[in-house]
Amino acid sequence: MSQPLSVNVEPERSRRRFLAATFGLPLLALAPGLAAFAPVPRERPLRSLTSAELRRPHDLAG
Amino acid sequence: MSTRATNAVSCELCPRGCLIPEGKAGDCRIRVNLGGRLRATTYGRPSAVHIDPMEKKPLYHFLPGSPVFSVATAGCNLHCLNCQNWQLSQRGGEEMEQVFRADPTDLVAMAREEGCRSIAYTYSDPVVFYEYCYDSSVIAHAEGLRNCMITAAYINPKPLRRLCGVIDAANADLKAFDDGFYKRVSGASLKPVLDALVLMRAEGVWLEVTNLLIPTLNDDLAMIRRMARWIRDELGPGTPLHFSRFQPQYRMRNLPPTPAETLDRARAEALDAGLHYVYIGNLPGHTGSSTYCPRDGTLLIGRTGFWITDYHLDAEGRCPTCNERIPGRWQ
Repeated sequence: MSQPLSVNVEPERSRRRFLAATFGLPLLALAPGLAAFAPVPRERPLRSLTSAELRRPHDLAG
Repeated sequence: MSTRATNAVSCELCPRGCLIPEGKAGDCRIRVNLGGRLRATTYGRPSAVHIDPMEKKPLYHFLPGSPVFSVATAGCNLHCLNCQNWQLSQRGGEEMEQVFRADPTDLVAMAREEGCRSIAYTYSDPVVFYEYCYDSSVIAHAEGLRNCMITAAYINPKPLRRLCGVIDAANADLKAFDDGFYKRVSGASLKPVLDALVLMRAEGVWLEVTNLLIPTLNDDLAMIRRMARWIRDELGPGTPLHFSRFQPQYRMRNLPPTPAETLDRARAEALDAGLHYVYIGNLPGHTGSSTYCPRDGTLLIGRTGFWITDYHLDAEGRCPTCNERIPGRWQ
C-alpha cells in the first residue's frame, strides 16, 4: 500500500470534507471557508476493481 | 450510544467508552458525533479489498484452501506499536489515499461473482466498522456465504453477542497474557479481550487464536504456558493457536524478528499444556504450519506458506488412519 502522505497534511479540514462527502452535509456548515480547499480521498466504485486486481498479492497482514 | 447533556455522545461499542464531543471522532477515528448521533464514517467505504486464501487470515480449520473476499475500512480501536497494517489502521477514512464505494449489497454480490464462499472482515479491525460488517454479514448469509472476522476482540459484550449471530468464524489476536503488555504496546487491556473470546466460543463462532511473539516483550515461556492453559480450560483443547513471527515495523523497529527457536519453544510449551493444534506462522516452510492428528500424529493438512500441499481429512473432517474427528468447519 502506498503512503497517503499527500492527503495527511490537513487532517481536520480533510475530515470535514470527508464527512460532507459521506453524509451529503453542506460543506460550509461543517467548515466555513476551509472545506473547499481540503483534499479528499480518491473514491472509486468497488466494481471498478478487476478480478486480477482483487487477487494481486499485497502486503497487508490478516 | 447515549447522549448526555452536552450533546457529547458516549460510544458503547468497545471498552474505551469514548465520550465524543459534537463534530469529533472517537479514539478509533471512525465513529463521529454528528448532531448528537454517532455515525460510522467508513460505512460502505472500504479502503482495502482483496481475495486471499483462507490460510492467510489465518483460519486453518475453516473452509481450508478456499478463497475469501477480504475487506477493511480505515481505523482501529487499538494502537499497537508493532501494527503490521498501520497505514490502514492508524488513519481515518479521510486520510486514505483510496476509498471504494461499496454498500453491503455490492460487497456480497461481488464476493459471489468472484467465486468466494465467504467474506472476511479483516486487516484493520471490524469492531470499528461494526455496522458495515453486520449489515454485510446479514446479506451474505441470505446469499449462502459465510462470514469471518479477524479481530483484536476489544469489544463490549452486548454488541459482540449481536455480531456473533452472523459471524461463522473468527481469528482473534491474543497479543499477550499480560495486562501490562496490552497497556504499554496496544493502549488497551487484557480482560475485555479474554471475555470476548469466551463469549465468541459460547455463541458458537468457530474460533482460532493468534499470538504474535515479540522478542523480549511477550515471549516468556511461563506466560505462554499460562496462556495455553487458559485457552485449554476456557476455550477448549481443540482451539487452534497460531504463534506468529514478529517483523520489526511501524513504531517498533528496535527489536529483531522472532527467532525460529522461540517459536518452536512456544509451540512445544502450548502442546505440552494440552492444546491439540498449535501452529507457527509467518515462517514459510516450517512443519509447524501443518495439521497433525493429535491421537496418532498422521499428517492431515500439509501447508507451505498460505498454500495447501497435502489434504487427507475425509468429508467429515476425520483422520484417515484412526478416525479421530478434527474440530473445525470443513465444508
